[in-house]
Amino acid sequence: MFHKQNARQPWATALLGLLLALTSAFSCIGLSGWASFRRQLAELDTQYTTVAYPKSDDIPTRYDYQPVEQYEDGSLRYEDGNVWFSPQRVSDLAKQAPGLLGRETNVLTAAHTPGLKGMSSGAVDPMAYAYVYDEGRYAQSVVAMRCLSVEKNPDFDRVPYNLDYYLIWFEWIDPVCRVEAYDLPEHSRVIQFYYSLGLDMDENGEPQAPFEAGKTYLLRGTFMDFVPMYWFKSKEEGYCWFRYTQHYLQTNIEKFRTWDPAENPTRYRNDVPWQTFRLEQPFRGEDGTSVSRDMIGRPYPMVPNFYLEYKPLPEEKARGYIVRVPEDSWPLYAEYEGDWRDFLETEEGRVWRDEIIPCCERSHDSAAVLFTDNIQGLSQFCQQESALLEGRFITREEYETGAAVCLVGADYALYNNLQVGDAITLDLYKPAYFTSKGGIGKGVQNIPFYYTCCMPLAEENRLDVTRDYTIVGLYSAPARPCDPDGHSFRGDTVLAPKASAPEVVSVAEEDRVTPLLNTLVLKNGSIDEFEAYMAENGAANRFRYYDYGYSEMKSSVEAMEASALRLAALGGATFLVGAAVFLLASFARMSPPARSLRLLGASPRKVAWEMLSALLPLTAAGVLAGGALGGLLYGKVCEVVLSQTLAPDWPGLAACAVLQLAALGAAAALWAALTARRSLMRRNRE
Amino acid sequence: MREKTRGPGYLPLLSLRVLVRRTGSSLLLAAVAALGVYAGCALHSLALQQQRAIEETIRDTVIHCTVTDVRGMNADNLNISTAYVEMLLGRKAARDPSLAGMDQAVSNIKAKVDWELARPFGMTLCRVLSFSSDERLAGAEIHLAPGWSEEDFLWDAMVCLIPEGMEAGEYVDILVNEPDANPRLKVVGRVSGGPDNVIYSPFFMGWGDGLSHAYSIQSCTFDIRDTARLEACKEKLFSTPFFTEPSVNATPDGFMVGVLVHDEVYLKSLEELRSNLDALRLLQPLLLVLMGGISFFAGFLVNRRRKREFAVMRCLGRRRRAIFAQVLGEQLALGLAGGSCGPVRGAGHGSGGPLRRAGLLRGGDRDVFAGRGGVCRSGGQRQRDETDENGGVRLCPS
Repeated sequence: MFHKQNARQPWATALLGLLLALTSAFSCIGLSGWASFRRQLAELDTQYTTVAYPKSDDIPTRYDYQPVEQYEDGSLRYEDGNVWFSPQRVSDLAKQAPGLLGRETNVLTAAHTPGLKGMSSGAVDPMAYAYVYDEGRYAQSVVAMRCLSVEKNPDFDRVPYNLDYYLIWFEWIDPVCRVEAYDLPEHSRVIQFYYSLGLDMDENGEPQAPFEAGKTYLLRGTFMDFVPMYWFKSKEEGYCWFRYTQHYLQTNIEKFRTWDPAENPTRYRNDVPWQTFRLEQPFRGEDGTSVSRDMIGRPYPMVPNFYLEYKPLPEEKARGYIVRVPEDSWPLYAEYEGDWRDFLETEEGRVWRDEIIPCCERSHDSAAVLFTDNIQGLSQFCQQESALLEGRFITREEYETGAAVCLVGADYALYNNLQVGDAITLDLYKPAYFTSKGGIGKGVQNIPFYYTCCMPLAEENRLDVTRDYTIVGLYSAPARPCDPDGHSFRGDTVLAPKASAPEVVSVAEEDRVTPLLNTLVLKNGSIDEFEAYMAENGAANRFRYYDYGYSEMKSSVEAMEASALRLAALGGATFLVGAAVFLLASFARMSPPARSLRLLGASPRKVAWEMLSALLPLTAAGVLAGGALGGLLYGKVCEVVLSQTLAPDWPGLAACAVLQLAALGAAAALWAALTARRSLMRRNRE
Repeated sequence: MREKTRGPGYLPLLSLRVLVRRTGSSLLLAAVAALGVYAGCALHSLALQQQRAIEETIRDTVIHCTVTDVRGMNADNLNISTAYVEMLLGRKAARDPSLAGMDQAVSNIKAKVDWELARPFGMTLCRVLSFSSDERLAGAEIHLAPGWSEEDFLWDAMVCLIPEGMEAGEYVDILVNEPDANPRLKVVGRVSGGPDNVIYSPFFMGWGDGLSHAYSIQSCTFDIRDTARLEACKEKLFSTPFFTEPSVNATPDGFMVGVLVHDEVYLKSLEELRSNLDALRLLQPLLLVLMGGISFFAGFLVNRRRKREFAVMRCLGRRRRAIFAQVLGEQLALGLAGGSCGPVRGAGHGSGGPLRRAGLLRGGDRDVFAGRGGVCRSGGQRQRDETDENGGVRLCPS
C-alpha cells in the first residue's frame, strides 16, 4: 500500500528523497571536511619534530666534579647540598612526564665501505683537521720510527699526576699505514711521542723503558697531524702561543715573515715538532671490564687487540699500576732491523702484514653509520647546522619498513664521486664507540664539546652483514662540529633507517648516555608542559628543546583543529535535523493509510513492516545520492584548492553514508512501530 | 468582508496559533532555519579565524638563513670578506646598484670573528655585529656606559667591552698578530656572566686612521626581515651577483657565496594552511546553498500536510493570496525565530563556544572572532621568547 502511495505521489516522494539527499550531502561534506582537516593536521604534525636533549653541563667529566656522595643511580650530592641528577634518573623521570611520545635511541656504528675513501676531518679542507674527530678510526696508523733518546723525566715525582717516568723521543722514518689525507713529517723529523702510563714499569713496579735509543721500531697507535703549537716569545709579554695547521702556515708564509727572528728581533719561533704519535689504549681490569673511562665517564668498549691489561701494584710503589699487552693480542710495537718492508715479510712481521695493517686500512676506508628513525630530530638538523642539500629525507614508510636507503654528507659524496641514486655498500660492524672531548678557543675559557667516535674496525666485531644502501639525499654538515651537548656528527656519517639493520640494533648497548644516541621526542606543542613537570621534580633546565618553529605555527593549527571540529559538528547537526524533518514528513504522509490498514485488521507489526519496506528504499536512495553528491562537490572544491591531503576519502564517505542509512533505518523502524501502534489507539479513544 | 472585520491582528494571531498547535513541525523548521544561519556564521567566522591565525603565524615565524660556500657545505669556515656582511647591511649599494635595499630584505645579521691577542696575554678579541652574534654571551649581562648602545657596535668605533673582572682603565691597548695592529680601544662597558677572556669590539672596527677594516669572517647568519615578503626578500637576495642558492654541483669561483634559506618546513606548512583556508572559503557558499535547499524542502513538505486546512480556509472564503501570505508569514516567523539564534551560536565560534567550554577545543585564551587575535603563551614560553629576541643577552642600565 505504501509503495503505491509513493508511486501515486511522485512529487512528494521526490521531494522527500531530495531533502534527504541534501541533508546527507551536507553532512558528508562536513564529515569529509573534518576528516580532511584532521589529515592535514596530521600531515602538519609530521613536518614538525619536537625534541628534548640533555644539556652538556649535566654530563660530569672525570676531571671536574667532586661529589660528597654518590647514589645508586649515579646521582651525586655536593657539599652545598645540591644534588646532580644522573642522566639515568633524569631519563626515568622524563618517562613519566606529560607530552613524551617516546625515546629515540639512535644506533651509532661504523661500516667498512669497500671502494670508497674514508673522509677524515682534514680530507676536504686541511683547515678543518682536528684530531678529536679522527681519534677512533682514521688516526689508526702503523709507522716505522727510530728511538732517539730515552731520558728520565725530570718532572717525575715533582708533579704527582699524569707524568711518565721516561721522556722518549722518536725520529720519523716512514708511514707504513696511514690515512691518505694527513700531512706527514719529513723523513728524520723528530715527532712527539706519548705512551700509556704503566707501560714503563716492570712486573715489580720498577721503571723499565720499553724502548732503547738507536733501535728502529714498527709501532701501531694513533697519529696526530695537528700542529700543536708554534712558540713565540715576546720580550714584553713572555710566552704565548698560536695554533695553526701546517697547511695554514705554508699558505700564509708571507704573513709569518714578520715573526721570523731575523726580521723581528722581539720575537722568535721555536719550531717544536707538531705531529704526534700516541701509543695508548684503554685499560682492561683483572675482572675483564674497562678500567678506563671516556670523557663522559663511560667505560671504553673492549675491542679485541685494542686494549691493554691493567694490573694494580702495591700502594708503596710510587706508580700505582702496570699495563701490559694481553698475550693473545697484537703487539703495540715490534723492533726491527734494516728496512721495515723486509721485516713485514718475516714470520715475526706476519701479524703486522696480515692483521694489523689490514685492520688499519679497513678503519681508514670506513664511514660512521647512524641508524635512526628520525633524521630531522637530530640536533644538528634541528639547529639548522645541517640541512638537506639535494634529494629528499627518508620517508616514514621507509623508516618503518627498513628500506635500504640513506643520506650521506655532501662532502663525503663529492669526495667519493657519489650522487643521489647511487648505492653504497656498507659492511657493518658491531657498535663500539667512546666519547671524546675537544675545545674551542684557548686558555682557561675553552668551550668544551663532545664527539662520539667509533672504535677501529676489528675483525672480531664484524657482523657479516653487507648491504647496499641507495643514497636518497645529500646533507650538509659542519666541517668542525662542536655542539657542546655532544650531538655532533660529521659529513662522513651515513644516516640510515634503524629497521634496515636489525642485526646492528639488536647488539647495540642500552645505556646510551651520549645525547646523539638518545633523544626524547615530545608531542608537538608540549614543551612547556614537559619542562614544568621536570622542574616540579627537581630537574629543571636539564634539556634543550627544538620544535622547528611549531610554536609559531600553533595558532594556525588550533584554528584548523577548530575548523575540523566545527565542520563535523555542523554536518552532524544538519543530519539530525534533516533526518527528523524527513521522518516527520514521511510518517505524516503514511499515517492515514496506516490507520486504514489497522482498521481493516492488519497487525501493527505488518503495518510497521509495510511502512518500513516502503521507506527504506527511499531512504537508501536519498542517502546514497546525498553521499555521492557530497563527495563530488567536496572533490570539486579540493580540485580547485589542489591539495592532496584535502582530497575526499571515498571509503570514509561510503562508511559515513552507510552509517547514516543505518541510523535512519533504525529511527524509521522505531517510528514505524510507534506509528503502527499508537496512532490507531488514539483514534479509537477519540 | 468578514476578514476585514477581524482586524489587523487576526492573521498573525492565527499564524501563531497554528505554529503553537503544530509544535513539532514548527520547532523542526525553526531548527533548520537556525542551523542554516548558524552554518553561515560559523563558516564565516572559521574562515576569518583561520585567516588571522595564518597572518599571525607568518608574523611570528622567523626564517633563518646561513651563509655557506656555493655548494652549501661549509658554513663554519667561510673565510669570506667582511664586505659580504656590509652588502647584507645594505652599505655597498653605491658600488653595485643590485645591492640597494638589501637591508630591507634581511635582518638580525650575526657575524663574528675571534682573534687571539698577544696582548693582553691569553685574551681573545671578538668582533661582533650584535651582542647576539656570540653564543658565549647568552645569559651574560652587559653594562654599557651612558651614551653607548648596542647599535654603536654596527659601526667602526674603536671601543670595546671587557670582562667584569678584567683590570683596565679608560682604555685597553691590544696587540693583534697583524702588522701594525696594536690599537687602543676605549672601554665602553663590561660583561658579567660571560667569558672572562674575551674582549668584544665592533665588527667593522679599524686599526686606526687609514687602515682598512676588511678581513675574513668565519661564519654569518641572518634572518629574512619580513616573512610575509619571503619570496620578494629571497628574490632580492639572489638577484645580486654575490649571493646564490647553494648547489652541490656548483663550482666555487671565490666570488659568490651560497645562502641556505631554512624555509622548507615553513613553506610546506603554509601551503597546507592556505589550502585549508581556501577549502573553508569554497565550502562556505556550497554548504549555504545546500542548507537553503534543505530549508525549502523541509518547509514545503511540512506545509504540504496542511492541504485540508487550506481547503477549509478556501471554503470559508479566504483568498489564495491570503492563505499564501499566512503560510509565508508563518515560515518567516519561524525563520526569524530560528535564525536569530543562529548568529549568536555561530559567532560564538570565535571564542570557542560550547565546544571550548566542553573542553573539546584547546587554546582557551584566544578570541580571534572578537578581534583579540594572538596567542597567549604561558609565562615560561613568553619569557623564553623575550630572551631569544636578544640572543639571551641582557642589557643592563649603567
